[in-house]
Amino acid sequence: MSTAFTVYQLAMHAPDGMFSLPINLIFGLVVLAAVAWAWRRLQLKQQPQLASMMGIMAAFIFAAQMVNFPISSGTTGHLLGGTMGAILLGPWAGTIVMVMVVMFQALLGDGGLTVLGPNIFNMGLIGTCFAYFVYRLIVGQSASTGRLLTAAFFASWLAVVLASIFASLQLAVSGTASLDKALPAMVGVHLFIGVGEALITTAVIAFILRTRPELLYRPTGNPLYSTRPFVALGLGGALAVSFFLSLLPTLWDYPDGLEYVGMQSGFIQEEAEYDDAKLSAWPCYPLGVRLVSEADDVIVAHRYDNYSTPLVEGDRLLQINGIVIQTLQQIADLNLSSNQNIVSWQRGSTTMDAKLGGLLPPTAGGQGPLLALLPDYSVPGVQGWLSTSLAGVIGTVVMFIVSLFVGRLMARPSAVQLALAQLNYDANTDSLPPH
Amino acid sequence: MHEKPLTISFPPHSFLEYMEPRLKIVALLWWVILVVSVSTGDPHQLGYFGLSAGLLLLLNHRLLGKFLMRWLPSVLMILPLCIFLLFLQQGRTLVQFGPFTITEQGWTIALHLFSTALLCMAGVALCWASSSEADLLCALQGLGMPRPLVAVFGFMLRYLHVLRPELHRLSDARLARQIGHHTPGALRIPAQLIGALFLRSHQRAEHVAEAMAARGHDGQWRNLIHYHWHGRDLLALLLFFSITLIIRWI
Repeated sequence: MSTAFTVYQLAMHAPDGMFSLPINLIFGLVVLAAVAWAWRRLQLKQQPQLASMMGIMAAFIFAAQMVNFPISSGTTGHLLGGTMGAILLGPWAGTIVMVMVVMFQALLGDGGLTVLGPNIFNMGLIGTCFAYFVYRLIVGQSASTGRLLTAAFFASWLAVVLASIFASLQLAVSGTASLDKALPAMVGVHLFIGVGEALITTAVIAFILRTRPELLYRPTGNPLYSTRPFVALGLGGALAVSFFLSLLPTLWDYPDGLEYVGMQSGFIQEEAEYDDAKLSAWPCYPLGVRLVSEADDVIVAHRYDNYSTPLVEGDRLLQINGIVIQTLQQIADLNLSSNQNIVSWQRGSTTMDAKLGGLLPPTAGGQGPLLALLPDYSVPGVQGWLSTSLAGVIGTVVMFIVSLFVGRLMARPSAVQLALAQLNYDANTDSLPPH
Repeated sequence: MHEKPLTISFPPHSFLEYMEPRLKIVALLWWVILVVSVSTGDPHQLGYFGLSAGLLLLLNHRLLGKFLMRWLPSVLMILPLCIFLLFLQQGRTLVQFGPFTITEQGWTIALHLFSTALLCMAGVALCWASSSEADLLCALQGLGMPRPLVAVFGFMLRYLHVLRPELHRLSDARLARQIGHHTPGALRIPAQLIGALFLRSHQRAEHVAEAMAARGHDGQWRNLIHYHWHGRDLLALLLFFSITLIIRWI
């Protein structure tokens, strides 16, 4: 079972006990409200034929989720289908259909019963409501195939990434996983799974547009709004959100995945966060902390949280492997690069001990990247938080342009389609087509 | 305990099959809520719940095959999740594999989640093993689920058995036509499969809707069984509630 699959399952088919009671209740209520709203809009009682249609479409979404697609070597993902369901059936029917599908999956053991609220929200509602709204905003009143496919690509990618963000937050609030570990793991994998989902959804919509375009759901009635202000508002909102969301990682001091691997492998040198010369002179990586000598005691001056060490700033070191520690030189003599160091320390009036794993110190040196447009999530020439935010905005715009490009590319008729169109033209006309 | 059960096997093999499906659904929800409410630091209670589930299964041993068929796949789904969760907690280090660390907190949470999820799934699997789909649908309707939603659910269950083989046929046909492995077009194949499946599903849905309308279908899910709560049903439910409550607060 691959990591990507596991992360995907964790985000989408959470089992019983994964989330806390308040999370289950809150999201359960949100789902109930959404179903009630969809029920009211659909007027199922007045349209009896809809029940069979929706039932079969629910079976279709369920069966479509069985089709796997490759993510990377040896790893496959499967379709989530929320956005696709909303684009094909409409948001209201899509919502009911996704609720039914997730409920049935829970009965089959794929996801829990008590966590139905969060699961339906993550797998269904984000796609059928939020992502569909984004899709409609981008499409507007345009009948252009390219714009439609662009919107489908961006909305379905966004739905998967948002679902992973919500799942991480739900896990963190429930106390099942810490946010700093869950969020990068979830979102990192779902950025790629989202591309797979988006490509499949776009290809399915393109296929249906080519074969039976009349089957695609189109909202009836006159539009209640002019599209342009909404597009402007949506794009502006997305940029504003990315402007502020980009600042989130700066709120905590953990390295991202690449930095972590780099520090482990030694090709990234950790930045000195303390200017004090005595700190950088005494690196003590095997404990995951940096230590200083203070009045015949050895005190933890800085903790590296990514080392999973229970030692925190201010702890006073007592013993390592049974040897009483009073000076930093004693620690250096112990050669702590090996694993399984038994460490005792004092926090306030409490004495604690634990077996700490050893980690080799990163080697010094390293060189800058050859080509980096936005190195370390910052815009060259701009300093501080503004730089990070601008990098986030640029990333959002780049993603939008990529979606636009993919949509346009998939909307182009292939050579085979052009040949078939020519054949149809020939068959339907007596004269030869003009060359 | 209804007179004309729509159960999978008739006459029923075990007393769980005799029980009314509404009662089973209520008991299942109660079971799941109680199991989930057990705190992380109390593995003994989960053990008692496991023992009682095992005892229930022993009393209905004829359902063992069906139970395992539904329960074991869920074990395979939950296990990797719990392994992944081992690494998502900070705290005292237990084991370290290179950059990955299993902490004491992660171990406790993952083990608790694994046991909880397995017990809940055991309840679901027992419920499914002892009832037919039609039974459960009728029970859902009997418990107040809106009829059109039950109808949607019913049609989904019915046509899932039709569309899955259809998908396999489409997939087989696609594989038969495919020569070699085309990496650049790897995503186009599942997309076309799903697209074709959508067209066929939609066509089938239209035909079914027309046929149902011609027969006077008004979107409601009807059945010949009318459930009534009998004294013995309430007694069985009360007994179940009492036993599980005692286990919970033992």
